Amino acid sequence: MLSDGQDFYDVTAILAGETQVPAVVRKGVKGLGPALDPSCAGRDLPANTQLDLPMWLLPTMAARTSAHVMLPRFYGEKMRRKLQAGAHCEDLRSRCLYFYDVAEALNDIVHQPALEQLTMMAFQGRYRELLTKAHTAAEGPALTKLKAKLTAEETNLFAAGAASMSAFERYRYSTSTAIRGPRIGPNAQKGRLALTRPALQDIANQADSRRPGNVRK
Amino acid sequence: MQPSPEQLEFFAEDVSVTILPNFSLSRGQETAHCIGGDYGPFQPNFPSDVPLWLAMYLHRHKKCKIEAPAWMSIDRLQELYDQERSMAAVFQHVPYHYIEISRLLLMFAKDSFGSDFHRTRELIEMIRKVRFNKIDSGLQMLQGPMTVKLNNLSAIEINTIRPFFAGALDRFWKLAKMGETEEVPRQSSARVTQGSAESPVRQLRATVAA
Repeated sequence: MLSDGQDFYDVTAILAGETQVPAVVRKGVKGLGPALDPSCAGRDLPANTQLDLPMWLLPTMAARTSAHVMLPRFYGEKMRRKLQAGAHCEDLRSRCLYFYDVAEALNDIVHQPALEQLTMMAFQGRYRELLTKAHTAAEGPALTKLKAKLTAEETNLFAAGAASMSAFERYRYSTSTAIRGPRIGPNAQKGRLALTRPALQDIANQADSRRPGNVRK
Repeated sequence: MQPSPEQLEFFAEDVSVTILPNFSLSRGQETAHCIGGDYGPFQPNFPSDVPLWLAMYLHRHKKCKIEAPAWMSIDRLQELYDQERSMAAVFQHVPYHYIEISRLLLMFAKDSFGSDFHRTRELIEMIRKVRFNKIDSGLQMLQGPMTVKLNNLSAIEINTIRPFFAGALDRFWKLAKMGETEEVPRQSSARVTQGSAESPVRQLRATVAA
């Protein structure tokens, strides 16, 4: 995630980095007690305090062995059993919006094979049962209900599939063959298709307003 | 960014079709010189091969009759449809731009099909639906970062599944890669900071003034 610097400007990575992950601070932190843990009584955070830390902070702390990172509950044994029973029924969006990206980042820290198995099992099940409906699902309550369960990564994938299919459907039912030009630009006035009537009116008004004493009403 | 269906149609207009012109060019000018090449010669009722865009242009100006391609005959389409239905795992060979070409011809050159027009349109629509159903069921078979053969898919079919298919394969690959990370000591993996954390303390040398 943010630790390697490659996705420094990636909004998704920044938002995923805000996910709270439980950790135990091995060494005391001076002066940052209330900032890291609002329930901290004093100014300093004592050693071996368990608290939730944002994901972006953990790679650095773990590398310096100043924090012991634990897996959040949504990667735990109970979730594994739920996903085994029916991955497509589980509402992962409410558990963790960036379920797969956070798992990927956590895997670099904790190195637990169970985490990889759990996320792979979740994606396989949900891909087969939910995501492959992207090309065929029609708008309606069922689709709204389906989308409400998807994580951010799954939503992007689903939207990409649905958008390409709707572009094809729009093309199939269109009766025009003209590729529309830009509304503005050097060639805008050459093809009348490129300009709508209000846009043409705007251009005419602008041209008139440049001439003193000649304003079109 | 992937091309839109309209852009794919633009590429499809380079496909060669046969026309029957009802005009001839002026004496001494055998062929039409265009940026894309020379087309012609054009003599009334002598077939000539031209790209689809030129055929449509001439047809719009009532200068020619477009001959429907051989693959768009009723018999060939029916045979294709039967084969598509009988072989669930295999896509039959169709022209790469069959959806775009058939849409353009059926929309702007209806007279090329005569009484077969409605049946032709219906058969192409049925073939398209069978193939899309096959694609959908094929997508459901995806279970990991595997190699997938996509033989005989047409341009629009590939274009329609591309973002979803590539995105799903990317995600499968990322998840599978999680299991392949090298074994490093627990709780100390960040490559950038690992060195700085564990590097030995450098002793300062005492300098003796001469």
